[in-house]
Amino acid sequence: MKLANALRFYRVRLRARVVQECLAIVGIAAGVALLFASQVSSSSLQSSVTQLWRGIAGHATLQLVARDPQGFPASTLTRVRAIAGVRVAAPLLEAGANAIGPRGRESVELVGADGSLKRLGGTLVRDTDLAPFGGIGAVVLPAPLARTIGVRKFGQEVTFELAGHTTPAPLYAQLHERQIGSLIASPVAIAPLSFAQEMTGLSARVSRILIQPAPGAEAKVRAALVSLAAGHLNVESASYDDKLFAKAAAASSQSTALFSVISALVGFLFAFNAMLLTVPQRRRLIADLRRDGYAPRTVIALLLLDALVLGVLASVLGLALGEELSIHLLHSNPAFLSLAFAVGSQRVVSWQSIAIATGGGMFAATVAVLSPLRDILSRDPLAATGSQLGAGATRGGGRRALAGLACIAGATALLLAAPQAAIAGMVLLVAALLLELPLALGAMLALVRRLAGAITSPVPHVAAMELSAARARAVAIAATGAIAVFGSVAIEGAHGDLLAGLENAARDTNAFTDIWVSPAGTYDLLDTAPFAPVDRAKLEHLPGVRAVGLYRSGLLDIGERRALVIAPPRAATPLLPGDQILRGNLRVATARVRAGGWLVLSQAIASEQHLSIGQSFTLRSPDPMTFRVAALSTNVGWAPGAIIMNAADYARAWGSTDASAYSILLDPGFAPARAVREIERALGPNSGFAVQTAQRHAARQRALSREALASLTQIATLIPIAAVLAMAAAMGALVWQRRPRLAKLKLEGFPRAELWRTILLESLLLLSVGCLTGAIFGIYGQQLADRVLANVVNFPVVYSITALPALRSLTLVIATALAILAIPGYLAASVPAALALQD
Amino acid sequence: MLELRDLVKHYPSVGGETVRAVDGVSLRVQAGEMVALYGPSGSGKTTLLLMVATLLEPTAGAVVIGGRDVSSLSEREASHFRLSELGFIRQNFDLLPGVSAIDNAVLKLLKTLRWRDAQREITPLLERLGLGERLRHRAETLSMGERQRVMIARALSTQPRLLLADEPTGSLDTQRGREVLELLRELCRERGVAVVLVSHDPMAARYADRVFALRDGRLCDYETDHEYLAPSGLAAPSGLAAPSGLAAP
Repeated sequence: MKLANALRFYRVRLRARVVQECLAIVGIAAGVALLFASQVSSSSLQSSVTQLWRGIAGHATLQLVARDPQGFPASTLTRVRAIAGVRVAAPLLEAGANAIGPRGRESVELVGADGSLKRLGGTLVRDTDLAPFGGIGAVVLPAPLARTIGVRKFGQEVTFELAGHTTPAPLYAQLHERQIGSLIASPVAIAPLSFAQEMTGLSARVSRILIQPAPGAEAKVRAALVSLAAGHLNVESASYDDKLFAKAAAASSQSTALFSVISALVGFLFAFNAMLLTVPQRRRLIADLRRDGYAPRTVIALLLLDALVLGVLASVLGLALGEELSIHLLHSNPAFLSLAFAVGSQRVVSWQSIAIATGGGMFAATVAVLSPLRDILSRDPLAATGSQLGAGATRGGGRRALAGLACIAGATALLLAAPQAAIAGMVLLVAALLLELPLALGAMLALVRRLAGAITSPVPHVAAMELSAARARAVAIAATGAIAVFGSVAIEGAHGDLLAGLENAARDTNAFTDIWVSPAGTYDLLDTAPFAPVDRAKLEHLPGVRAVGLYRSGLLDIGERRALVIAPPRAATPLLPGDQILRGNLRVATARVRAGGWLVLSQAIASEQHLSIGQSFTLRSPDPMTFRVAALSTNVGWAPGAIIMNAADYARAWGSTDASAYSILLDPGFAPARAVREIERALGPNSGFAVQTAQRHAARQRALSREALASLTQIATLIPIAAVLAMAAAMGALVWQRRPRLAKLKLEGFPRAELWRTILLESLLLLSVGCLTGAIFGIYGQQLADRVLANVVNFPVVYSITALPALRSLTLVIATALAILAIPGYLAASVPAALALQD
Repeated sequence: MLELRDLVKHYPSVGGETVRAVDGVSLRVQAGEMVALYGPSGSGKTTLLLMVATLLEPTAGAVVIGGRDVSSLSEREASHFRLSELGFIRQNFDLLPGVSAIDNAVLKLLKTLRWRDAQREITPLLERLGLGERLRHRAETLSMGERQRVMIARALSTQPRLLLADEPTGSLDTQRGREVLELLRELCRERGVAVVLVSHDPMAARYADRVFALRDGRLCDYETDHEYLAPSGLAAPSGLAAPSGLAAP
């Protein structure tokens, strides 16, 4: 058939089934939207970090990086530039800071650079000339950031909170999108290097040197840099920060990937349910065409044209819906990670996200349109009209059930042996769920028939008959609910367990002190900004203060992990967070760490570095030092991992007596609130320090944990909503399509109320089987997710079986879908009996 | 048993004229009697059946069944009437696809009987109708004749007083059609059921006790309207012995 004729034929057919086609388009679009939104959400954080670093580093391929915020002498730059093969070497000084203006405050990465940075060609400064304000003490801010804090005019003052002190800096200029593109959303403040050094108090020091070697000279330059670093600095590729972030965001990425898989499945089933609406028409079309002598190839071509039109329209609609979803619902929230990485708030839409979502939509449309393929290829031209939707679904039940059991066994094996393959485990579990669902539905129908045998009412019989008659469609609808509840229960359960674990970690890491005094500002929630502890003596003499300890903490890059190093004062009690120790004797480990030369490592770091308890190794700190492993712990809530040592060892390994916080113990019975007031008074109003009780400190950490996990909450909410809509739409359409059948029953004397009850019972049975099966598998999925979080990412997880949330999830989905369905059900039950008399 | 009293159904048409679909039909059918109605398309046969089946309210007149006027029942009462007192057989076999023969047949019994009891009750009738080996087969796997017999079983399952049959042989070959008509007559006489049979099939008249024709919504004597009906495609039932009276098969 010629293409023009095929298109004309499509248009003619479309007129006869425009409502069904619209429903199918909406169904597929919903799937595409879910997939697209989750893809954008998962890729935005990583892309934001990548873009920022590419924007700064430009053509640089190597970098010399300091191991602590104090940096290294700027004179190193001369030695780097002297290395043969170095084309450009640009120094940077970076520091976390709070930028404060008249309208608000924002956490930023202060970047000090000189004119050489522009020679690297990075987007951030390519079109911004740093030279004119090179000698001026001023900063440049991206326009949205400047707007947020209310600093707009040239010369207007921005106050920076930096490591326990505040520094004013005038605004030199705003960076606009035409200059820096998508980096416009990056949280950076750019200052001339000398001014940044002055602001941070790090005179003549830099944090890293970005290097662009001459072509072919990279290996030679790297070797020279390693020699220059002499084990005190890191020599890395320019994309090192990307890798560090990817590792840190692994848990978040995995959960979003899991959501993508679940979204794709829910979306596909949504689409499949919608497409089933048009299957009867397509079957008739196939029969007509085959009867009229068209070859199967022509029929397939016509159906593919249907799929193409459907897929394209649905994908366009889905992308638009997904865009809205990703803007308004699925925010990518860096939370904790923003304390260690400069993560922007930009939403990055990559071509891969568009391709995956569109591909999913086209695939769903094609599979659904070609579902009667067997009929097309049949030698009997009328095979299509004789087929029933349920016919195939009842065959091969035993084999399916066995395959389902095999999938469960596979998921269990992965759970025990290779929890890092969590996504594969989840996919196996979903496959098992789909394979066992027909069995569950069959069992439910058998049960209903058995129970109904003792009841004198046609309602349960007719409901069971109707469900048995269209088994494939019933399974598809139940599967939509099952997967949604599965996803919701698994994600919500794991989310709850993780949150409980993080709360324990926050409690444990605040147990050794009554009051925290640390540099003010949201950028320092991890207490990693160093400062000179000059106020110690002043604090020791305040009323109610029993002891003032120096707490030290910092971020240290180990392999591809940016680990959090925690170093409480040697005398702290408890020195180690008891609930976080996974291996090793707590008492012995505490004694060893207190004595010095021993530390506690996150299990994930230990396993990556092939370390076990008792083994010694050299920690690549600013002043490398040999430690022995006293015990293995969780990651104490920091995804890349943690290291716990005593504060004195930290000072030696970092070669600095700076502290990160004062940990203050109070006299027994002395009110912490009063102590906070006394300390604040003693430090003065512009000290740059924040004073807070241990309880408040822990509460802030818990709040941040919740914020970090907010996307999981959104996900767990969004999936059931999508499922309810999918099921209600599919079942509503199914009920509406059944009006002629209902009319036949009415003709036989079934009143409207009875038909309505039958429809509601059918819906209840389908929803219950689907959601209950989903909830049971969801609880198993939760265990799988918990193990992954605990064993792979090493999070502190409190294992639980979330029967109550599961019950709540499934009740909510069933009740909502049923309530929505009650209306089309009632309208369908009101069908005039005379409809049955129309052929 | 069934009495149609000056039954009228008029529809307003777009042009303002009134369409007289049924125009003053009066008829009595006794228990155990089989009455056949002939008529071309648009003669009002289906409208008449719909009114008898309480699916359509007459403009005037009454449908009296067992001494009760059923022409203006509420929806609930009408449903109950169709369920318990009426059997309805149609040409296009209103079986539920995907559902077994026995489950299709017991549908009306489920209102008053438990499922197992309903199956027990219907099985002898289905066996008598020659479906003993096909009880568990899905509707779509049955032949046309078998489907029609399932419909008959369902229609008679509640021991109705009145049976309406709309073109019951329309989709069957001559042999199957004859079997179905024989079966209907036999069962109706045996159970004392009044039957109103609407058909194009001349053969149906042989099995009917009385035969009428419908012309422009009016009931006519079949004999006198014979010539009117013939050009419209209806052949005269051959071997019709007694006009408008009892016909011998």
